[in-house]
Amino acid sequence: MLPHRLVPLLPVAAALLLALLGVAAAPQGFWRVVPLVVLCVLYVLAGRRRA
Amino acid sequence: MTTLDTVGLACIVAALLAHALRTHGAWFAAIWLGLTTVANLVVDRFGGVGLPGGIEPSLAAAAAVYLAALFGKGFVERTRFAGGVVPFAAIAAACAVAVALAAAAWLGLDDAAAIRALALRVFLFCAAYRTVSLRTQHDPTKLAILCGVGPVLWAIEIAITRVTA
Repeated sequence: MLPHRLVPLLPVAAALLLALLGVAAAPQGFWRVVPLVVLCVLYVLAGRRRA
Repeated sequence: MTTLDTVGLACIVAALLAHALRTHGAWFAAIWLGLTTVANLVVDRFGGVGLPGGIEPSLAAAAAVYLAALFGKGFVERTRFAGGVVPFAAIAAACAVAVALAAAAWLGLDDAAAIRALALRVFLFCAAYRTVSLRTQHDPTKLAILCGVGPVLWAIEIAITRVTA
């Protein structure tokens, strides 16, 4: 039902949505979501490097 | 919570539930979502580190625990990091700090309290998962064991919190 290639990206999508909600709730404290966004980028890069 | 928050929470939980179903199976998904949601309500009731009570914050806490654990597990697997129970759980707990900061901004929580609560939960969750999976390999009883140790972990959380409070 769900393409297998997309499964590893589901947590990244969920994390980015969480980051978006965080920024929307506290625009002045946007720095709080920066570590999570960095984590998403590293996670994707780690997967690409292995592949 | 506003409608946007509720829709966002539903999307996050749906994405993570689909991931859990696809990669770990229905039993794990049921245990993760059911156990951690109920656990947050219980911890809130008896005064643990505590994220807010109520069903929506508890679902958000459950999603945050799984998300952080997933990132930790992902880094361990993707970088072929070969560690035991404690390093595995420690990496996941470090990821929990990043998730906790975003969750704190979203739910309007105190940063330090949210980091402490989520890092501790993720560390305990991952340590239990890693211990059970290392000892039982693919034995179908491992999830039943994990289900059994869950309540003990939350009791430990409440105990630790009360000692350090």
